[in-house]
Amino acid sequence: MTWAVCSYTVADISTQTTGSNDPDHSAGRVLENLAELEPELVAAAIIDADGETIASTGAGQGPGTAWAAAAIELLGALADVRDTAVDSAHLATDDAEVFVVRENGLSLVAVTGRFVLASLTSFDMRMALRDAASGAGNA
Amino acid sequence: MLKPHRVLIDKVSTYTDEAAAFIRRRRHHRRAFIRIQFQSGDALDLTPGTAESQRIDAATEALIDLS
Repeated sequence: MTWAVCSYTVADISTQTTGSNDPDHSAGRVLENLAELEPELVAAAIIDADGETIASTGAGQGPGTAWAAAAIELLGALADVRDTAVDSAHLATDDAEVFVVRENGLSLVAVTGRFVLASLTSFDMRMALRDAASGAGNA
Repeated sequence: MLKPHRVLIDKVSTYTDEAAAFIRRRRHHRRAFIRIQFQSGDALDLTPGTAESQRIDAATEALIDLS
């Protein structure tokens, strides 16, 4: 009688770094991953604390564009609502929805189709921002 | 036992009630809203028509139009 033997090799990859350490490149990869996860994603950009767009899903959302200016205006308008810092926001119109998530000094602004799963989208965006902040988007 | 036409009327009124509820729910779900979560843990559903919400609405509409 023979016994099937199964073995696993477990590696600790938590401290490993892969790819380049360029934060802009990392954020770009993070947005690509997010777009794969969210088929309803229309446009998105990561904006740093200085209001600079460090990554976007397309040229139309890049630094200096009207889209980026509108995103920065939205972040400013949200920040002015109260004295305490904004963690996230979910805004809906008849046609589309806008999500804002802030983490580690970065803000991710995303436009999606209407009736997306809000909690899932917010969670994916938060994970994406954490990846961008840690440079894990290069993997 | 109910008369046959009573059964028919009950069925029709049940279906119209269901349809009306469906339309009410859809209208409620389709309304625009602004929900903000703060780092303090507070959440705010911003009232439409205020100066704050109008500024946010304008920026949101611009983002969507440009996307």
